[in-house]
Amino acid sequence: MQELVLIQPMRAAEDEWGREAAQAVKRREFEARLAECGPLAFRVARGVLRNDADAEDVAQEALLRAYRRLDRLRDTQRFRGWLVRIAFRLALDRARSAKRRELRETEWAQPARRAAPPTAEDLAASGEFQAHFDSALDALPEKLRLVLLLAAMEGHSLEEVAAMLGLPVGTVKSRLFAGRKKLAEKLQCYVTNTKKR
Amino acid sequence: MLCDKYKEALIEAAASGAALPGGLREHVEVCAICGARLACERNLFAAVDAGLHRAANSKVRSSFLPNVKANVATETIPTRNPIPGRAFVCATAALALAVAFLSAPRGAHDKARTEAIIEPGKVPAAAGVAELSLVPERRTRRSASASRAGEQQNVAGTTSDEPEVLFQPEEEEFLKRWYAAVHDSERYAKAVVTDDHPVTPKPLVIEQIEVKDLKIESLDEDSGLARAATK
Repeated sequence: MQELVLIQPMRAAEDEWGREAAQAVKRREFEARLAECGPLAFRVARGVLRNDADAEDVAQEALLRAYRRLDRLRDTQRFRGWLVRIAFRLALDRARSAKRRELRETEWAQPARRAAPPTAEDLAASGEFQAHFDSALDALPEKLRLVLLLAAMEGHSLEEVAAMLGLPVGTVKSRLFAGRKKLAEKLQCYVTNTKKR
Repeated sequence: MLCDKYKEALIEAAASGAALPGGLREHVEVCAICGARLACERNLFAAVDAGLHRAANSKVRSSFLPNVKANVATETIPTRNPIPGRAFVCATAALALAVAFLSAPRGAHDKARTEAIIEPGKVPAAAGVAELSLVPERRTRRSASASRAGEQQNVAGTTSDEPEVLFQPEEEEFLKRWYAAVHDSERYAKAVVTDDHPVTPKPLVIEQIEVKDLKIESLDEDSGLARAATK
């Protein structure tokens, strides 16, 4: 029995061309946003990781992920907020896994000893206050931390932060206030200790 | 201590950066401790804001964006399937059900189809030998699936209600005769079977039989014949 297979080469080629054209349009659209949103993703990641190389990796991953899933974003006006959340989430994951890895490696290499505390020279080099500040920032709840970082970025008003995160301005204000207050409380001990010294 | 009640208000004022309310401002002007505390809190919040600013506004390396662009250029977006996966599952299930339905009652289905093909009612009453469409097998040799499809076409075909029969060319005459015989007998059978009038059998009436007297004579042994004579 002979089997006949229906082949439409022109139609297949047209589909392929259409797909490529759509992809090119999408790429152009994305690249236009990249100049504005790329640094934003980097800064969010840098605010969590405090390391340029890691932050670049994470920001790049976040941008690629956003590009791949661009179809799923219904409202294109929310692209910035969407990207910020992706970058923030990826950065948190990276920070946690780095912390776990560091702990594991320390225990494996020196089971009897804990990691040595930073020396005075280290603190002086990195800035003692900044070191305390970083640890205080890490200890903040995620929702407060993201609002603090976005609000501290140049050129972001409270309304823009609220629009980016899809929150009411009042909520952003209260989170910002609570975050700063918590940071101040934690750094208060440091300030008092420094004064006592 | 009297100044403790101003502690929270001082922190709030330092955090918000707003001007002090009337009562608090008067107290701070008078109380040196609260004045120092307010200054300390303001310094602390300024340091917090500076730290946040430093953490949030790091410089982006110039190679970052070109790297991302290059990666995006090599990235291919997987095209979204317009038919969701659930539709495939439903279609597969429906297909499986259809196959199971068609294959399970095989005997009944075939019988029904055969009856549909050779149903006498479908053959026109005046259909004779000439109307039978006889197609020699050699001319219409088809594959099994094609013949199956052809059978279905015969049932639902619009061109002719006549069944098509495959046969060898030398059997044509025989088949025509057989068809005529079958057709005729069917008509006779129809006449008998389709008679709707109730037939009430009449009882058999036998008239009285008159029996005459019998005479018995002896048989002649020589002739070897036995004869009975009546008078």
